[in-house]
Order: sequence, then structure tokens, then C-alpha cells
Amino acid sequence: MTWTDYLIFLAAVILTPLIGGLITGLDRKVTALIQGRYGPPVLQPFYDVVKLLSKEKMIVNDFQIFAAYIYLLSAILSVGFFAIKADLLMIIFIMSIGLVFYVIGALATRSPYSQVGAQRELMQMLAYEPLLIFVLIGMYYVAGSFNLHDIMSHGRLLLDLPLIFVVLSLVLDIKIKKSPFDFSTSEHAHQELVRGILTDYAGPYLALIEIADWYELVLLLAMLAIFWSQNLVIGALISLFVFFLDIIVDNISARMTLKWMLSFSWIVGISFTVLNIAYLYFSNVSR
Amino acid sequence: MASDLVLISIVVPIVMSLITITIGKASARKVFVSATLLIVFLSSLAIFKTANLPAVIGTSYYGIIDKLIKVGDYVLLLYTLYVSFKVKEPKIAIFSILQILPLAYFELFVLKEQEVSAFYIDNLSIIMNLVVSIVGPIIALYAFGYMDHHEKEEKLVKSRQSRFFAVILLFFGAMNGIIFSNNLMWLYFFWEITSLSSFLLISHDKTEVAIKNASRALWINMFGGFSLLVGIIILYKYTGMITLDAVLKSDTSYILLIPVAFMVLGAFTKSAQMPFQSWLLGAMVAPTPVSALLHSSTMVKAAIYLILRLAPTFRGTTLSGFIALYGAFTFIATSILALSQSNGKKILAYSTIANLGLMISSIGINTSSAITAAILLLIFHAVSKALLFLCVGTIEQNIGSRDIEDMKGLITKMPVTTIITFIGILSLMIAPFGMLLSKWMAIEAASRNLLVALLLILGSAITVMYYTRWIGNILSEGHNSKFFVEKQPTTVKFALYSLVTIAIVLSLAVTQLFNAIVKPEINMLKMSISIKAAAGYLESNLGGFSIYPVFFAIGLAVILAFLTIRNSRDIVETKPYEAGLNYDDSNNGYDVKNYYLPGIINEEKMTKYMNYISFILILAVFGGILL
Repeated sequence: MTWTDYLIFLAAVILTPLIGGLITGLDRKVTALIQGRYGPPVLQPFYDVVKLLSKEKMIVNDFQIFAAYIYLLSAILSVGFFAIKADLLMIIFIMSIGLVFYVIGALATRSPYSQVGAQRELMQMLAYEPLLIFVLIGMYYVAGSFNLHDIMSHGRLLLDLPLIFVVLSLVLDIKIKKSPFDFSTSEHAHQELVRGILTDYAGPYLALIEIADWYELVLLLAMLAIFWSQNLVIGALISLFVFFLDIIVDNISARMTLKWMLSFSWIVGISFTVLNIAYLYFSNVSR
Repeated sequence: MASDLVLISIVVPIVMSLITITIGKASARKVFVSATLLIVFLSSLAIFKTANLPAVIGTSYYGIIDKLIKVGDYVLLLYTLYVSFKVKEPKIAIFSILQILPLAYFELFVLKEQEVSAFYIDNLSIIMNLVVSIVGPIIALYAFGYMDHHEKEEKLVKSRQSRFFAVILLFFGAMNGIIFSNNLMWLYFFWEITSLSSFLLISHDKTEVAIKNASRALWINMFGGFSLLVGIIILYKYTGMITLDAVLKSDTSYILLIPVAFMVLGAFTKSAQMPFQSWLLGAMVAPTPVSALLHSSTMVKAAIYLILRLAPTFRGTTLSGFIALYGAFTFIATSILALSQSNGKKILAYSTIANLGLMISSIGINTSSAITAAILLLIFHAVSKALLFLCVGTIEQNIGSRDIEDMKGLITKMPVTTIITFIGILSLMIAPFGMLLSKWMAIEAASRNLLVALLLILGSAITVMYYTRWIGNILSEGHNSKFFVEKQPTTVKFALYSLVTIAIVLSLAVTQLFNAIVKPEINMLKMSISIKAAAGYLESNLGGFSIYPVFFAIGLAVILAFLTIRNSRDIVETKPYEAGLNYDDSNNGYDVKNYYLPGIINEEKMTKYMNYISFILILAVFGGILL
């Protein structure tokens, strides 16, 4: 790593939560508009997190503190590695360290709500983690490498990997827990008081998790954006558009069953990946 | 020099084993066995330090060893024939006779006597030898404390430990025999000894179910031995080769693939790949150190060793592609089955089979990064799996159950063992531990082969699920629980601490490990090295992985959490949320069970269909020769 790499790493780590918080604020605003409400200000997520950070440190057991920290740190690390264009497969594996601890933190408390939420989060991970790697496999077939640097030099992945792009959009939907995939906890729009996996995380440690969620949201949106890495502004617009679609789907659909989610995501994931790679062979893009 | 060291590593444990069986006094036996373990350990270090690799070395005792082995073959097979009648399992007799007849025919009429170099040593042998001689003795030491407790539980009047430790020593000798033999007939002999030893170990408790499972293990492995023997006979008949170095030197040819396929099939049975998995699952009835041995440093790893050994002979063939597919299928199938289990030992057993499948799949992919992944997986799996089995054994002796649902709140009852188990499980499933790093390498290497890649990816996602909820269970704690101080025998403590240390240190030093012993092996196989490793960074031509930042992040989280807990006075311990109901701190209060997905996964039914598929895949492996 060179000095510029360190600087980029640092800049990404500082800027990402700001962007993530803003996008979450926009999400709440748009959702409110769809539901005919006025909605909170765009900066509301920041107010929430600041308030949570200053709250009493309430924990059920010590392990939760560790779980929250590691979830945040792994999210930060994966975003940083993304910014310096490292190996994408490694980035996904680093991201999943945090998720594993996030789940264990909830399982470690004896509340039935946390426990059920954690079990459901595991099912969500089972649904989207392989899909995320399928996306990388698709990129590998086009770029001949898992390195983000090589993948980005390809330019317009979207034209070669349209179905893989759909798979990644699906991952985004499951990952940020929007309907019909909001099993482990529901998003703000549904205003449920007991929030599954998050039930026993409170105060500053809940704030850490919120911030980590912002990092992961931005990371996924950035992965969508590199499908048009020739011009990253267009890429960003594409990813924001997908996010907007997710908000709409969230508001017009109800929660489905876990079994449905698992079979739906795996069937869509596997068949779209295979079809897309078959298409690459026919169009001689595959390297 | 080197030949003497190798001879020591094989002969000493075998001879000592024969002596151990006569020692009735517990303390004398412990000293004697410990001394042997020390010799095994030191000889492996000495071989590692002194051998010039790769080496084909002879020994002046060739003639006498060869005669002993020739006689030994028949003694062994006749003994299994006797076992067959004793346990009333005709399948053992069938496969014994199926081996005796061709063996006699082969040795009397086909094989032309000639003296060949006795031992073949390269980095792969060294790696395997180190795994056997470091992990194995640690497990054997653990058995000291475990077996005393075990016999108390069983209320035995007369201790059977002499026989137990004798067989374990025999096992180590036989493993070293497999690893270093250059003559394939020697390899076959030691291979059969391990099958017989595992029968003796599994049946140790002499209960009806133990004997039943042990005899199943024996006949399945005898089938494997038969396949190996057929492979060797065909090889000699058509090519005149009887030594490993000759096979490895010869150019890949069509005729070589047929015997190799038979030998690989033998390895499939020994590594309990589907549809042969039932013997390893049945082996769970044995005392825990036995399971730990079979699953980590001996038995199943002998199979991986053999396939790795033969990998150059089928590189680039269709056969190789089918082996990759077959391994990948076992990986995902057994991962799915593991998901439906709540018995800790069974989860570990299925995950062993899955990981062996992953190794076999990597060997089948057969590129330099895939072979690297396979070798690293072999090393890391041996350490972590041994550790976890010993943890489950320790937990079981304390709480009386091996069900992960019963392990809820374990952290309060056995804090130290729980933390070690926790680290052990992490070392199998998340970055930056060596297992995941190797998995990363395997997936990148497999990505050209779409079907194999998809199976590996789905399988590893499932792995994360069944291990995560296990950790969640052991770490879950009630409100204001009291932590107990554990009391363990010294040998048990020693085994757990040393294995967990090895697991962490090896993961931290993976680049050094790669450069010191894996890279020379890849070089020797004359494959272009596509992996570079330095300063915690592993780089392939497809990408790269930095380990230190991840360890740094985990360390930072530990420090931050520790400082928060110590420095803040305003932390409030609260009760778990139960929607206003009174919190019940007993084990069976508002307990939520893990999801085992019984609606989707039915072990019995699925096993049946998966066995059919794997059977077809094995046929495909053989079909791969023709293509």
C-alpha cells in the first residue's frame, strides 16, 4: 500500500457514514411521502445516532459490546479495502466476520425475540451471501480477476452482466431488510417496537450497529455503481435508482415466509448466474 | 541418516505398541506411552530439519522389512477374517477373501522380486508427517485424562487402556508407513493396518452398537483396501511400476489413469466421502479421542494424502474434472445434512466429511493455487478439528450431553472450555483464520469451473450458518449468572491450550507456512507458482488477501470492548427483553430452539437420494478415464 492508498482508505472511512446516513434519511422521507405522511427531516438518522450514543449504556451481557464493535470494525475495514480496490472476495469475507458476530451477539442474550431474530438473520445470510459471491464470479468471468481494480477497468459491466446486476439488486434488498425480506428486523417504515435481532442491543451499542449498517449499505450501493465504472456518476445514479425501486417494493409488498425467501433467492441467484455466464460465452466476452 | 529417522518414526511406535499392550500398571504405561509420543514427535522434527528433498532413499534393512510386510499382509487379512466371524459380519469376510486371493496370485505369479528404494520423502510427506506427529500425540495425551474419566463412568473393574493406547501407537506407526513408503505394496499394508486399528478403536467400549459401527467401518474400509490393491495390481501388470517415484516420474498416460482411478476410489472410502460416509458417522460412538484422531490427523487424512500424491498423474484430464465435481458434491450434500443436526459430534463429523470433500474438489481442480488450497486446508483442518472434538469431549464429560441445545449457557458453567471452543469454531469458519483463507483460495481457483464453484459457494454459506448458531448457544448467558471455575485434568488442559495456540499461530503465520513448506512442494511438482506470499499478504493472479488488518481489527475490537467494560462506571446490566413477562433464568424458560429446518431437510430421506447421486458421480469419475 502506498501513502495515497492510506489516504483514500481514511477518506472512505470518514465519508461513508455521512453518505450512508443521508441515504437512510432520504429513504425515510421517500417512504413517508409514499405513505402520505410528512416524515422526519433528512438528517433524522444522525440525530437518532447521536442521541443513542449519549444514552445510558444498557447491556444484557458483556459479549454484546464486543459484538457491536467488531460488526462496526469489519464494516469499516471492508469499505476501506473497497476504496483502495482490493480483492472483492476478500472484502465479502471480511464483511461476513462482522455479520457472524452481530448474530452471535443477539444469540448470546436469552430474550426469545433476539433469538428468533438472530435465527432469521442467519436465514437471510444464507439467502444472500452465496448470491453476493455469484456476483463476483460473474465479474470474474468478464474481467478475469477478483481484484476490484481489474474489474473496474472493464468499464460497462452492466451490458455484459445484466442478470448478475439483478442478482446484486436482490442481495441489496435482502441485506437491508426491506419487505418482502424483512424477517430478522423490520425497517423504520414498519415501526415495529420489538425489533428481532436488535431487541437487546441498546444505547451506544445500537448506535454502533446503525453506523455499521450505513457502511454496509454504501458498500453494496458502490458495488452496484461499479457496473458502470466508466463514469461513476452514472454508476451512482444507477445504484440510487435501484435503491429507490427497493423502497417502492418495500412499501407495496408484505413479508413473505423464510422458506420462500430461501428458495426464491437461490433459484433466482443460481439460474441468473448460469444464464448470464452462458450469455457471455455466446457473445465471446468471457475471458 | 534420513532413512534411519524414517525407520524410527515407523518402527518405534509399532514395537512400542506391542510392549504397551502388556503393561498393566497405569503410571508405568503413561510414562512409556509419553516417551514413545516424544520419540514420534522428535523424529518428525528431525526429518523436517535434516532431509534433503525430494529424496528417494534406500535402507539396508529392506529385505527383512519386505518379508515382514509380506507375512504381515496375510496375518492381517486372516485376522480380519477371524474378526468377521467374531462379529458376524459376512461383508468383512467377503472383502478379506477378495484381497487374499488376488494378493496371493499377484505375489506368487506376477510380481518379480527386486529391491527398490524403500522411502520416498518430499515436502508433502513432511507436512503429513508433522500433522500426524504433532496433532496425534496431543490427542493421545488428552486421552490420558479422558480415558480415566471414561472408565470411571463406565464403571470398569479391569482397565482396557493398555489395549487402547497400544492401538493408538500402532496407528501412528502405520500412518508414518503410509506417508513414507515408496513401495506401493508397503503402502497397501500400512493402509490396511489403519483400517484394522480404527476397527479396534471404534469397538473399544465393546457395546453392541460400538461393535456394529466398528464392523461397518471395517468392511467399508476393506472395500477401499480392495480397490487400492486392484489399482496396484493393474498398475504393475500394465506398466511394471510398483514404486511411487516411478509413477510420479512417468508421463501422464491413458493406461496410468485406470489404476489411479481405483486407488482414488480406495481413498474416497477412507475419507468417508458419499456414499461411504456412514462409517465415519458411526465412528462417533467411540471415545472422543478416537473420533478426534480419525477426523483430524490420521485415517481420513491418509486418503487426502494419497489423492494429493497422485494428483500429478491425472492433471488436466477429464478424470480430474470429475473428481473436482464429486468432491464439491460431497461438500454441499454433507453441509446440508450438518445443518439439520443438533448433536455436536455429528455436526463435526458431517463438517469433516464436507471439508474433505472440499479438499478433494480442490485437488481435482488441480491448478497450483488449488493444490496449495488443498494442502493448507489439510493442515488447518487437522488442528481445528482435533481441537473441537476434544472440546466436545470435555464438555460432554462435564454436562453429560453432546447436544448443542444443551450447551446453552455453557459459558457460565465452563468459561475456559467455552472460550476455547469459541475460538476453535471461529478458526473453522471466518477470516482471517487459515481455513477460510484456504477456502478463499479454493473458490478463486474453482471459479473457472462454474458448477464446482456454485456448489462450493453454497456449501460454505451453509457452513457459516450451522457453526454460528452453535457459538451463539454456548455463549448465551442468563441474567447475573455466576461463573464457575473449571477443574480439568492437566493433560486435558495441555491438549486444549496447545491446540488452540497452534491454530492461532498457524493462522497468523500462514505466509511463512506457505513459503516454508507448501511452496517447495508446488515447485517440486513443476507447476507454475501463481501464489506469492509475504508479510501477511497472499497474492494469486486472481486477487489477494491481507491477513494482518483483519487480525488487527479483531484485536482492536477486543481491546475496545475490554476498555469499555473496565472503564465505564455507568454500564447497566439489564434483563433480556421479554415483553413484560417475568424473566425466567432457568434453562427451559422461554427458550427458543435453533432452526433445524426439519420441513426442508430430512436426514434419512436426503441421505438416500444423495447416495444415489454420489454413486452416479463415482461412475462418472471412472467414465472420466474413457473421455
